[in-house]
Amino acid sequence: MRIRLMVAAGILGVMILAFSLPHGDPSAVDLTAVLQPPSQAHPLGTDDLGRDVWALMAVGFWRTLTVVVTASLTSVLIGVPLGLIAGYSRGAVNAIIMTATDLTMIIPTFVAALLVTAVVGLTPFSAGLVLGLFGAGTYVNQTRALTLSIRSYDYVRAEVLLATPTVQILLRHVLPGVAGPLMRYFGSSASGTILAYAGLAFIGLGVDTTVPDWGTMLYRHRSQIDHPLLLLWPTLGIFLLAIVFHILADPALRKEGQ
Amino acid sequence: MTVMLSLRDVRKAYRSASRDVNALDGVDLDLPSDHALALVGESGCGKTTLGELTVGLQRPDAGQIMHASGVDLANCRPRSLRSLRPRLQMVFQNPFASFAPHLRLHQSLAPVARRQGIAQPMIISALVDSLEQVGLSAAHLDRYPAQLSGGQLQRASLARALLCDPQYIVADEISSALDVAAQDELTRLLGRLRAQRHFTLLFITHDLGLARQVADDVCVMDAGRIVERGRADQVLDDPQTRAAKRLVDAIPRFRY
Ligand SMILES: Nc1ncnc2c1ncn2[C@@H]1O[C@H](COP(=O)(O)OP(=O)(O)OP(=O)(O)O)[C@@H](O)[C@H]1O
Ligand SMILES: [Mg+2]
Repeated sequence: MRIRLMVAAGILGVMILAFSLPHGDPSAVDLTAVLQPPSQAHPLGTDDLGRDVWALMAVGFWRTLTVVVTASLTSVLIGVPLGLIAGYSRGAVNAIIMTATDLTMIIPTFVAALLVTAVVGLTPFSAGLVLGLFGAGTYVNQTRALTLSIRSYDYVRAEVLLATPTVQILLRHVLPGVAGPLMRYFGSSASGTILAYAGLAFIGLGVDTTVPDWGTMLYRHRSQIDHPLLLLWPTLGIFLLAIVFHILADPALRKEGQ
Repeated sequence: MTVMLSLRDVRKAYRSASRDVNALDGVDLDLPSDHALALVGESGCGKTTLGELTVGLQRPDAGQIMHASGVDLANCRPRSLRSLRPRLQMVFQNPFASFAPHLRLHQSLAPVARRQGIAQPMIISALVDSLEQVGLSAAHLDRYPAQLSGGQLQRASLARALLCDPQYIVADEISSALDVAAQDELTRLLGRLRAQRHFTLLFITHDLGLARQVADDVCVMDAGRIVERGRADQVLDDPQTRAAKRLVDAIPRFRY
């Protein structure tokens, strides 16, 4: 398991380093050099507009990472506090939060994201925000379930007797117990976000197909049967990044469970 | 002798899908102020449940738990209950669950002292004092719960309760994890503390011998009811009920 973790961290580190290297302008069109194979000047070749595929991949990587960070932050910052409150208060507050959560959960996240981004435009930030918002429901549920069990621990009940303010009990005593197990979910939701964003870019209605997203690259080149490398690079990027996040969060869970 | 807590026909059942357990089945009990009462009974007879009800950690299904201030712990609003806190304290049965595992002892204790109005520069010395009162020392302040023994955690738990200037402490089998010598030390400690601090003590145990060392009176519980109450010696020498007789027979002989 250690090895899996190190390999995943290594892959992520290499990706971050490699895509931080200076690269060409991803929007520089050169119609005299379209569909070039990999070369010294273009390490991954060029696409049908003569753009440097490496530059497209690099920009796509940072855009994807922006989506993941935005979505995760949104989900965590909304889902965890609501889950803590719902789990600790029961009663009417719990009922309201859980009803709202159920409502967001029955709307398929991908469809919601498709609709919203079709209206406000697909940017890494807008996609991250919508995916994060609709992904928050699961964080509410998980946090609530963990809170319900932690609140019955004697050290939390002792704080009740000690007249510790509820906010302090939640932050100092309950939250640390919630954070570990939530990591498990964090990884798989990050992977889900990567795939969802690639999907949105792929079928995004009215999206500018010159924008360098991995999903957009797949969409543009889906018929370039003669140049399979053009499809391979973004596919590899999506696959690697998704699996890296999946693995990175996994051992955190294992350690927590012991 | 004023009564601090008075329980009338208190009932509590734990309901689950498979079965209901009548943990308390009509308990009447008066707890005088500045008094040590032992609650003895076999495992599962409802001692912990009764203890938790008397500090307001749980509510009964029926009955009254009247505090001297006029607050009925069984039926009052949460706000009235909060007005009695933190002066009703409990030391829990399982020492290893009594402190947050991710906090050092001083991190758990300092907020308690702060809320008692102790000024920031005095906090550490107040914590050291409270630990020394129960036979621990400043060296323990930096430890995590996992770095303390069960007995040390029980003492720390007692120190935490004492920081609150308690009117009442429930001590739930706080010596059951200890060897006999440590048990004797702990019961003497409780006696000293009570002499200094004058709190009412509900000493829960299944060891009648220990009960005699700590308490003035003994209540014997059986299957959710209090079946016998009397002076500790009297219950020991002349148990009236089957439950009390069984407990007397169970006392380690050399102490009896
Ligand atoms: N949270 C709970 N859910 C369901 N049943 C419970 C719960 N807590 C206690 N019980 C049941 O209620 C009864 C009384 O439990 P309680 O813990 O009060 O007994 P006790 O006298 O403290 O026992 P012990 O000496 O073993 O600590 C037992 O039969 C127990 O199984
Ligand atoms: Mg018990």
